[in-house]
Amino acid sequence: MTNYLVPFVIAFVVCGLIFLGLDVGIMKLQGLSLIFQP
Amino acid sequence: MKHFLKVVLFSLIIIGFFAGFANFGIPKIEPAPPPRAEKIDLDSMTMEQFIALGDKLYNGKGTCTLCHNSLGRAPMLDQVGSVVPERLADPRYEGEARHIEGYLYESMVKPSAYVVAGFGKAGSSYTESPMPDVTGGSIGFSEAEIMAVIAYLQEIGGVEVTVTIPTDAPAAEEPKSDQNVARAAINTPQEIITHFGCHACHKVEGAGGELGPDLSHIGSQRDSAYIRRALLDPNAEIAEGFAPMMPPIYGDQMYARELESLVSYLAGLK
Amino acid sequence: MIETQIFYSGVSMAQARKTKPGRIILLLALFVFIAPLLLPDLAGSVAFAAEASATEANQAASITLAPPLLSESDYPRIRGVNSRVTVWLAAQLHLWFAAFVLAVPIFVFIIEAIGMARGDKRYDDMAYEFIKVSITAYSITAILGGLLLFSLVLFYPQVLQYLSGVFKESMFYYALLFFAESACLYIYYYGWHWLQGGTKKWVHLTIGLMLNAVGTLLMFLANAWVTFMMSPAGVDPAGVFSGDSWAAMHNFLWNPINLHRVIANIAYGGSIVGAYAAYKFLSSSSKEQRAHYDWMGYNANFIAIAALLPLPFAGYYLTAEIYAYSQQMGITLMGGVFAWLFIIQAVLIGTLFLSANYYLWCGMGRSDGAVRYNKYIKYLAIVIVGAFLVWFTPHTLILTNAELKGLGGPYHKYLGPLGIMPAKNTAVNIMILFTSLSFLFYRRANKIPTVSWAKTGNAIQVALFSAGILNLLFLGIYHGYFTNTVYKVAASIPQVLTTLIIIVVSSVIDAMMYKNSKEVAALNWGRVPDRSQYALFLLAVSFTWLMGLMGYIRSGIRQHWHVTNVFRDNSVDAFTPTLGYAANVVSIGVIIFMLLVIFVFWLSAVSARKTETAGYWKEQMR
Repeated sequence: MTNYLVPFVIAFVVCGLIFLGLDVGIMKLQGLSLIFQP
Repeated sequence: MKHFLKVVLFSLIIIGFFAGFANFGIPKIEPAPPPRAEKIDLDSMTMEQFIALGDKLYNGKGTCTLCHNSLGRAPMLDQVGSVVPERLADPRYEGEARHIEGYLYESMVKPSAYVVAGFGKAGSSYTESPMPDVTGGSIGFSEAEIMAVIAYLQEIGGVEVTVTIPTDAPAAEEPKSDQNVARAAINTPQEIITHFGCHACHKVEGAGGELGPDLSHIGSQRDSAYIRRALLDPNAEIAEGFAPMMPPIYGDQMYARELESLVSYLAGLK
Repeated sequence: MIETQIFYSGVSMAQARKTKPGRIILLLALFVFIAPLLLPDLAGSVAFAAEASATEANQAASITLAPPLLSESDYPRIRGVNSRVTVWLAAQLHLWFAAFVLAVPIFVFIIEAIGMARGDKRYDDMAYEFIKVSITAYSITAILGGLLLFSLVLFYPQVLQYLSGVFKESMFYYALLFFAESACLYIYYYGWHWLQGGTKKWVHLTIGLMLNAVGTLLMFLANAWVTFMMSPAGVDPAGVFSGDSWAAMHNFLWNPINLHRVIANIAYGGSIVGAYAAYKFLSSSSKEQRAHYDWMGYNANFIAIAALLPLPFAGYYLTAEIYAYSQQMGITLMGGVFAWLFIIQAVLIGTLFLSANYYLWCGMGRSDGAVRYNKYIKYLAIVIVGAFLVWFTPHTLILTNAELKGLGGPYHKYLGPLGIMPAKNTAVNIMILFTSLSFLFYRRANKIPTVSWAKTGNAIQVALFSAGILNLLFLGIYHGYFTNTVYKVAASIPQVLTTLIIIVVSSVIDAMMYKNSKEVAALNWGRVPDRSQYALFLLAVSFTWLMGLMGYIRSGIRQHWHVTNVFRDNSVDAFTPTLGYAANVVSIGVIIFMLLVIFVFWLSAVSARKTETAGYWKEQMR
């Protein structure tokens, strides 16, 4: 069980951070922020 | 052969489904016919008819409502009275208009002269407008049609319609400007306030907007020198709590007698 | 009797496949022919700069070509013939066939290369079968192109005159390029069995590459003319052209359409070949034939889906460029009179994804090992159908006046936002993701991983997908419901990239995880239900109909213009027809196309038939 759960959690967090970084980076490239600023 | 027929029948059923959905599953929208140049009889038109023409163009040939609606692609156009003075007062504004009519005209023929923040083309650092020049092919307005739409916008914006109906005679392509034509002087302070649209931002005698200070008792708060300076050079001193939005145009537009009449009137509001 | 010359290659198989001169020939061809296609901008500007300086050296060429102002009587008419429908059908039929004959060489080339790399003759035979089956389609493409040109000459002469004035160079070289195309095609096809083994095989592959390069170049040239009509460049606001052909070619929509059409052609070609394989499967008479055509259908479907996955993004890029050229045109397209057309498109795309996935799920039955994955399939189906429902939800509801009053407007309070792009982008990204998940399951179906980290690998896959899907939902819901238009549009880019990253990374992880894996049970090619083949027909017919619909919108968005905003259409047919009418014309086109394709496939079968006669020829009576 642990040799499934532990890698899952680690991978989930790492992937989540990568995707978040991607989002922020791409929005920034378009001159915007991730969170809406009217 | 059996398989061939089955496959052909299956294909025809699929094609029939798609064609059927396109014919009956969606609303039957009849697209507007190609626009034809309409003869407008300007000489015999009343201002009401001219404004109605503007309404028709705004919602039809002009395709204005395609973008100018609540979905956020373009600014809303129903509040020209309060919005335009703000735009003219914006330090970013580098166009040549001095009043509502001029600003509306400039927005339609040179949309990129001033792009409202947030509505520019992505990638142009928001200095290029996605709106086309209305005299170009995509809309194809004539001068008279432009003026009709301006009249309509002024009407629904609740400000005075300053447009005059152009004559049918082919005129030089000059933007209509009050500055070229001497207008009649206005006599009473109340009429001056109405003409220059002060109510859009200021409360005077109970009625008006809240973008600027309440002037109902301004005489007991400020002296005439202050009031005169506020009219001629509004940004010299901004009242606390208010944004620097008052247009610095009244020194150019008011006759001297009108200015003095207004100053003494306001100074008398105690 | 004609002697068949058989050539032998004297070197060993492995050596024969990897000959040095062969590879050098291929690399050279790659740089000379393919590089310009990948960088059309660079190539074009170089080509035109060279030509411009040559012209300047010869003459002070000053061109002023203005579009004429036409009236109804300027358009010639033939009694009983509807000019617009004629040009429409000729153009659409030409496009269907052109897409097919551009696609087939792409995957024939790839399959031939795979066969060479693996030393597996089955791939070579399949590649040959693909090109054999489609050979007559090239003639039909040319015939339809001729018909299109004739109808333009007859019914819209001034339009053709203006366009050929702007594009005279590219049209001239386009015509000449057909010599190169025919040469490459015929050598590639007729020389298939001659150019075998060693260097000859590399030469053959190179000719295949050149065939692709020339065909793609032909398409890029024609794309320039058609996109100029939509988003003209190199002309002043009155439409006066003063000689800058490169600017006219390199207009806003040229590259987006180039990209979209290359990818779409591959997907389309795969689906048509898949339909061919499906038909041959259903009418096959032996187990070996069934197995062969099942395998062919699977490969064709794989090609179609692989190209289908990135296609929505290419379409989105094309539409974004339409908005960049003219926001008015963009909004008319998606929010104005053509908006409902995209709901029809949604139904078609949903059909494509559902039938492609259904084919994959049926195919899992080829292996006994796939039973393990059966329980997951229903969840994939639920998600894909759910995404399709969102994809297909319109923004504006069809309501009576009383209902409008009751609802307070044409939009549903909660479902309304599903009708705008952020929700639809999320839905299509999910459909694409889950389709690639179907593929993942299919590939794994009959294998057991033998690597030590298999469990961890699965955990990582699940984490990758869940984090990615949450990201897609965040971008779609937050930016779709709580921000303005600029943010909504911008958020679609990270969504696309999330999906693509997941697909690429999960494929790589799975490839690594299943290296040297054990087969649970053999893959029984031919062991699929007949209804799976109908899924392939559904794919082909839907694809064709969808292309017809998109062909209509491409032309229809110009509305009453021959060339947008500069050359007005004043013919009697200038009006924009209703979507129902357009759908009917498209349907008729699809039926004509299917008849022609059946003819093409029948011809290839006929060419193998022989009738033994007795007592017919005078030699036989001696």
